[in-house]
Amino acid sequence: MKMENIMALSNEAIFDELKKILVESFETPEEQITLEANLYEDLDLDSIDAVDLAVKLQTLTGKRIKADEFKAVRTVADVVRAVRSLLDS
Amino acid sequence: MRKLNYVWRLLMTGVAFSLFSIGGLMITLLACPVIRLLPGDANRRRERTQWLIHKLFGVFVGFMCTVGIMRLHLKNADALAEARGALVLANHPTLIDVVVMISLMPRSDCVVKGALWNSPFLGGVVRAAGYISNAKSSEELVESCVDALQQGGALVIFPEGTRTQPGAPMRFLRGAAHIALGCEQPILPVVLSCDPPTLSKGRPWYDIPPRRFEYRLEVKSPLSVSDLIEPDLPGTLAVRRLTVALENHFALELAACGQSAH
Repeated sequence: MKMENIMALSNEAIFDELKKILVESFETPEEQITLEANLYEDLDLDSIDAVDLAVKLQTLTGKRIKADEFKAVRTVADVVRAVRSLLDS
Repeated sequence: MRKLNYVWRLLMTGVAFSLFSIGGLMITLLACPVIRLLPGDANRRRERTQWLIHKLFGVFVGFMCTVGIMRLHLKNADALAEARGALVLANHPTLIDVVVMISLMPRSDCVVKGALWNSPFLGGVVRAAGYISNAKSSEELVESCVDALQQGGALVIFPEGTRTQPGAPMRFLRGAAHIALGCEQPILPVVLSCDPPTLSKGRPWYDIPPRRFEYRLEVKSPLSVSDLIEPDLPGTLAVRRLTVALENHFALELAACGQSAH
């Protein structure tokens, strides 16, 4: 995906991209991925996965993610919000 | 007679538990200062402490066998004694698994609970032995484990993370796979079983089995990551596939060992 397209991403589109990453890289069952789902408790990610996920989101957005901010992320909605604020910053 | 035997085993189980804590405190108070005074660097100190724990665990297992609480059946245990730079993985049926394993290993590294690390009885010992505390982030924990392996240690890991829930299937956490993928060292599978079950999760020490338990330890052939998963997978997938492959491997080995036991 090209950079200018990404900047225009709607929250729905961010959610879809995130879903794709979770299914492809973390083998998360697609039907479990909802905005409310907790990455660690519901989607079986661990803290090492979280680092990998942050790296993938960096590649997607082309912006650096601060490790401290990403540590506070718990749910899928939190990730969408984090990506949103990265794009808007 | 049966009743008498039960009371005897109950008493001796209590003694064994007390010996363990008192022994830990004695090493912390007496042996650690002596080891610190001996010449040699931190590495030598660590080796000596590990060797001492190995010997004392040997005495402890010997005690339990002699008084008739348990009977030990070993298969290919020499492979454990000679293990260097190997990731030793085992299933985790009882409280004494690590004790039996280390009693067979002159050099061993293992991961211990944060609570044990700070325990007044055993804390001094586990710190002096250079064991790895699990009270750090997963990334640091995996890194410490990989370091220990690359320095030639034999690292004991229970991939389930805790004792098996009796009656439930084994569930492996991904930590062991992360470590195995972080280095090129061989995996040495150890299959443990205890019959009748005792000292399992959620069971108090005084809930002893109706007869002396038969404890079996078998060291299987070493494995490498490439035996278990396809090459060149991205990291997040590799760790998941390897975890499932290890879980299946152990389930098969356990089923086979259950059959041969009957």
